Amino acid sequence: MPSWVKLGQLITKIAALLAIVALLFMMGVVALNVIGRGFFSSPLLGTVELVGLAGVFLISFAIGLTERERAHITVMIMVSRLSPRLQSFFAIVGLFVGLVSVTLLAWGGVLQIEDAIIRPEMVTFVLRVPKAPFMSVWVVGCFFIFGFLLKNLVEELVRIKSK
Amino acid sequence: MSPIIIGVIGIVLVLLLLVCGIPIGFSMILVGFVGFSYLVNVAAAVQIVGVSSYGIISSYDWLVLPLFIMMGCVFARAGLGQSLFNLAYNFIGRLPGGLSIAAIGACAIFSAVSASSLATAVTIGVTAIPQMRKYKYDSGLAAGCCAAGGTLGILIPPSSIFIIYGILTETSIAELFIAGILPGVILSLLFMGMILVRARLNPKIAPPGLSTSFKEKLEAVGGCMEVLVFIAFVLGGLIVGWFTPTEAGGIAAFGAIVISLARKRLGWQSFKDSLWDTVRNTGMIFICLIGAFILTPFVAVSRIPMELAGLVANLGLPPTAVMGLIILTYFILGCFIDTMAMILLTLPVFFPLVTGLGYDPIWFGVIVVLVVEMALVTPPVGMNVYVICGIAKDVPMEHVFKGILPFVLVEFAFLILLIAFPQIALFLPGLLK
Repeated sequence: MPSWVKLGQLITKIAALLAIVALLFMMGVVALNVIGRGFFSSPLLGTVELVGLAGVFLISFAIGLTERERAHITVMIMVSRLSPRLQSFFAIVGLFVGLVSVTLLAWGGVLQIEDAIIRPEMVTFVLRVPKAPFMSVWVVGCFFIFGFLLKNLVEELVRIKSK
Repeated sequence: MSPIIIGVIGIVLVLLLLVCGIPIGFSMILVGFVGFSYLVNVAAAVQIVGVSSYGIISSYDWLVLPLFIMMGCVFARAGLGQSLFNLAYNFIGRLPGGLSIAAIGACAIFSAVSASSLATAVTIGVTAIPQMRKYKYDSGLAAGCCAAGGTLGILIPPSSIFIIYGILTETSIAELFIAGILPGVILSLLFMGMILVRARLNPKIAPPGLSTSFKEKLEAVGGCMEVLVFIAFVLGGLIVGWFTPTEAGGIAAFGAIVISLARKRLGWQSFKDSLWDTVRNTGMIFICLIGAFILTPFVAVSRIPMELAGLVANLGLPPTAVMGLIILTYFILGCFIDTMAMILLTLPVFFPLVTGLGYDPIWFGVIVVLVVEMALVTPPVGMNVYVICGIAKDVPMEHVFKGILPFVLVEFAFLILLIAFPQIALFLPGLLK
């Protein structure tokens, strides 16, 4: 197996692990907060912020993992009736649209990071956690999605060439 | 070109990209960005992309979705579908069409642990369809009742569509959940009644099942008692204000794992699979939400909602006629595009119009969910039908659509009833005010 494939698999595994840990962390924090508030009159400080920050990890990597399985919502009613070559053509157009969209998301994310670095008040309200590192996670997530889109694009181009 | 023409071109472009099989989330991001850049400027459009995307993924309110999805995935992987079907079958299976009625009953109960229509249809369909085929049920009825029963998943709380509607329109999610209960129960009963009548008129399509003993009934109740109590606790807690929606989601997911582990129904592999299902569904939903939040400012600056409201006002149509046109639009769109796409694309335009006409936002939420339900089972794009066809591979899709038709007619009749008597949806929320 080529080393770049191994590297890709390793990155995917790490991303999946981060997303799942973030999901379980969110659930745990919310449950602890409710139990603490209900039974011990002491809610967990900063629950809303902790859940929000864990959500950044979950969603940033979940979108890429969904793209890996090509499970994003599409309407195939017309395309499924076309020839395999035309289907591949529309798949390539879709992947290009995806690449441009994700580039825009990353661009917007980078501007947010710059803003968060310049302005010291860009911290969470209760726990005073700086937002910039988490915005960086989102941008990393965008690159992760971009990687899968690019991989799918190459596969689709190879497929259309072989038809 | 005037902003409104740019807006219309943008919406048509999104629909065109959708029909070409381009993922809805990416289509909305691209069109929203380009449209807003054209009408305002590129710098502002990039700001919107950055602020909206990070705002959604770090929003405590939106993160209720993965938590409720997780509860449904855990219970589905833990085999709750089989237990619920057994429960319903033991009590109503001996009636004519009993297995189909039991499938609807199981769907209705599973809807209370699942926020998704597809998950409900698959979970119950996997168990119920082979049973119905074994007892020589009509293949269209067998597949159709599971596809239609699955639609209850987004009407009976918790419901992903209610959550999305609630946050987008700033309507109380708890009130929407409560408003969905009575219509969900009535619709389930109407489905059951229709099956009973059809089975009595033509016993060949759905012969009665075997009667069961009192002991078997008790065992069936015992098989999912704790889940039923837990559902009542989570939804009850949300309704009376013990939890916020996100807290209810967290408790629901946590409880689902604890209950499934305690009953030794969740192995390591099933647990991993349920988490993986949750992550995949979360990614699928959130890219659409990000797209919608980037498209909405473009629709707003194009002034389409305001112009449309002005146009409707100038036409002098009575509010009921406007509502009829909106429902017709949803019905037509629902035949061709995905439900999530439909909601995200239309709400920014229709919601201000409807509330401007004086309609209750909670009631409109229930109407939207009902129409979306119909879209899930109407040809040619009926997602529930597709997944059911994946389970019942020997049943041709035409048979499933044919089997669905009576259920769609029942839903349509119920929709008219709900428009005529809004209290069906507003009665329970009204009690809590």
